Amino acid sequence: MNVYRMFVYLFFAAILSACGGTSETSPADDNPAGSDSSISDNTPEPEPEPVIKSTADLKTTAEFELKSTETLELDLSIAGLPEQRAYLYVCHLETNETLDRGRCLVKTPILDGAYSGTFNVGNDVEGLGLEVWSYVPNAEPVQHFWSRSEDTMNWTVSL
Amino acid sequence: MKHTQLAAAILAAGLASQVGAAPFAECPTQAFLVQGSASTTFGVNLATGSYEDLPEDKIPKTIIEGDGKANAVGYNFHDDHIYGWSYAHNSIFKMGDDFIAQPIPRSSLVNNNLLQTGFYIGDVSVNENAYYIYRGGNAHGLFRIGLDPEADDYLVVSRIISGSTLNYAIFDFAFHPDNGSLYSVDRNGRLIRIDGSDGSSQVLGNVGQSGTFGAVYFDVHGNLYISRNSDGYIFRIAVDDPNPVAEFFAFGPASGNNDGARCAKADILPSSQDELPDFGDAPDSYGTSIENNGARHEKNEGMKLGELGSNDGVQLITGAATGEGSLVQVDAQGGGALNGWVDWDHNGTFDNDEQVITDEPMDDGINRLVIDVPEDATPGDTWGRFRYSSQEGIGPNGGVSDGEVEDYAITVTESGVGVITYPGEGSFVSLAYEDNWPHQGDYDMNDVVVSFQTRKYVDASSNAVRYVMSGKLLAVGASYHSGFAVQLDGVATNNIDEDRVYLKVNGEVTTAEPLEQNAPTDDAVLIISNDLWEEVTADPGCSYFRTEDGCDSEQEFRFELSVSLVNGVPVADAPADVLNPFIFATPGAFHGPGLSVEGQVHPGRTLEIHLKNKPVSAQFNTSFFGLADDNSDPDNNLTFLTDNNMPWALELPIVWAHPKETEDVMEAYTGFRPFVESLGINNKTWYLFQNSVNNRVIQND
Repeated sequence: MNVYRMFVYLFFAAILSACGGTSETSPADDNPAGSDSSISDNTPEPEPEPVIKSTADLKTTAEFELKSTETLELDLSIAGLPEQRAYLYVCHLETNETLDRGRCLVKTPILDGAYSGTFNVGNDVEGLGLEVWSYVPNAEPVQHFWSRSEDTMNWTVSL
Repeated sequence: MKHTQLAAAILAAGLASQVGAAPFAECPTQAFLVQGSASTTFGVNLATGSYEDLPEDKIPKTIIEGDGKANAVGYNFHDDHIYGWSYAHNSIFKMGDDFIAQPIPRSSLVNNNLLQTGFYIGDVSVNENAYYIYRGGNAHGLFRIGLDPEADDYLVVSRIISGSTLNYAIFDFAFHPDNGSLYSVDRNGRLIRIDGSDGSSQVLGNVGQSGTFGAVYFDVHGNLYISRNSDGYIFRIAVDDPNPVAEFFAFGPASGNNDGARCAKADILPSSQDELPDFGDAPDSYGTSIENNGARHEKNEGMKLGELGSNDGVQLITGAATGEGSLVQVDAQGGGALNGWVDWDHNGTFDNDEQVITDEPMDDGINRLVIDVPEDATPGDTWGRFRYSSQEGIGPNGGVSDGEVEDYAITVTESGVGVITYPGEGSFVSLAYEDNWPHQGDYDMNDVVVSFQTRKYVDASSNAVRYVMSGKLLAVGASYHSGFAVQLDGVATNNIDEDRVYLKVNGEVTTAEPLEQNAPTDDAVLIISNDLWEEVTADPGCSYFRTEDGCDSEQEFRFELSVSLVNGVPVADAPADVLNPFIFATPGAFHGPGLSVEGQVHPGRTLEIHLKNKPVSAQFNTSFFGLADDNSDPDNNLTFLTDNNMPWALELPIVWAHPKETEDVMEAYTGFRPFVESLGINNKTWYLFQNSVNNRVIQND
């Protein structure tokens, strides 16, 4: 073996070692389960924990997309509004029971107090609020709040 | 110098030394208005027209002993005192910060026989320490009186020109801060320039306003301010303009028997942030800065919209849909009146016919009113301005002495259209990419980091009709050149209304044509940037853009992309939430080895990197799937994942603090690993800044 070939051999040996790869002649193949040569009190070694050195070593499923959001389904039905037309806000909260109308997910006119929709909300969002305004200046808005800790991801409002 | 002059000067020097009032603070911003037959002094903020009695807490406030009349005042930049003419003493006076006039006896003035009486026009030169007074008519003229105690001409009166030669119906004049000339506007609106050295004069034009302008002032930029006695209106004139015009500037105090003085070397606004007036926030085309005579109000806790200084007092509750009424809620305090404008035609100004609220009195607390959105209002993003003040009749620009101005970005929609914003107005997700695909990167997730928001417009028939994507480049932590684009999955290229697509970069509409020219039925792709390294550069001493310590660059790449559809797409089928944003290899740029395509050295547009399991565009070279570390299975909608099913891109639901250069996301955020390994069950909020190892991340605004 010349020096170059020896270097190549050692290089690939090192790679295989680093990758934790196995050859076709691993000890497990030499001693298949159930063979006569097995020794009854020789319990198999637990599989070593995979070494996680970086994100590249992490494993997950093909379907899990690492999203940090969840889908919230809203089903709204409000009876008895002063007019057929109304205006819906779905917004983040300024305080527990105050909408931040500068941070809304939905601003839309609605008819007959009805609306359905789905929204992806960040895992850190603890609550949302909605308001339904009629177009009558002196009418007060209808409000409702969703809380992640108290409600499911189905936000049903029937008033 | 004659012996009599010398004696008088020595006497006057002695007198001056007895005039002991302290000087004013060096060259104050405030203007001084002296008025009344028993003269008192007011401090006037020319920017807003607000004024106050001076001194505030000293009685008597009259500046002349025995309640006499003063006039012809001027601010002396050289000694920071005010000089003027005392009718009672028939001589000049000097006044310091106690606002008590100290007369200089007429007998001290050398050549005092040249002076008659009753001067009401005066100012102190900026270029020389000398006081100038003027009165028209044969018995009078323009006079100079030296004020420098060290000079030979101290208190020496000299007549520059006869009042019959220089004879204008003016009521005050002011020295320009630089050119040594005096300026005034006569009762007919003629702008007059007078050379102080010889009294020669010229009429520069008519400024379009007439009346008695009893107080005139300059600022350091050479703008002349004239105050009309009858109504207190303050006008601004750019005297160097070939066609000078008096632009309404502020509502000031109406007055009579008055004169004004101001340090011409002072800016019009105070340097202290606390003392600045309240300004609007709209782009400057609407008149927002002081240079463009922006709307401004003297801050006053008693007269405000919502919280003083916050943009929270006015809300268009029911949006702004063409041809419909819009319910407006106003939170007001102080019993003032509201005025409002909306730029319905998006021409960048508030036109007269765009006033939507006129002097509407407000009760304290919540008020509601309805404004009409015109049928022909242009749908899209525009601006509204609301001004609240005790002053009625105000326009969209200029200063007033109380209240507040609030500017709002307003989205005009077609009738019945609603807006769904992801992740919410004023909120953004972050998109973080590794750009080494199909090779695994170092997972610092900062090769490209973008904040991103989408707005989807839905019509009354529940069809998506328009999308707006906006955001900002947060980091580029790689040397590869990448572009950034968005695909609207399921929306054909020929369903995009190409004429209505626009891309704004840093607030300006670009000439770019973002819609990629693909086959008509291909999913539409909108290019935001072909090369992010063309949008920003690494700061000196930095290898990349905002991924290293000390590299928090001031550069910005903000974008807003608007896309309207020819035919609405039912909401159930329409792209939603984050849509399908991706980075791609910049055409002609190296983007890793082994990626040449059909004779092209570099992959260019055919190499894309998407969020995990998102579909690729028609331009993508599918032969790249499966190369190197990629384990995509596009037939089963599995894309951009490794053998371990790890992605090349992440979407975070906040403006994320991204890892610094070479910091593995798993090390920067210790909750990331359990989040991944639990399939998202544990450590759900791993991405929050408080869950980071904070010396390993770069924060973003």
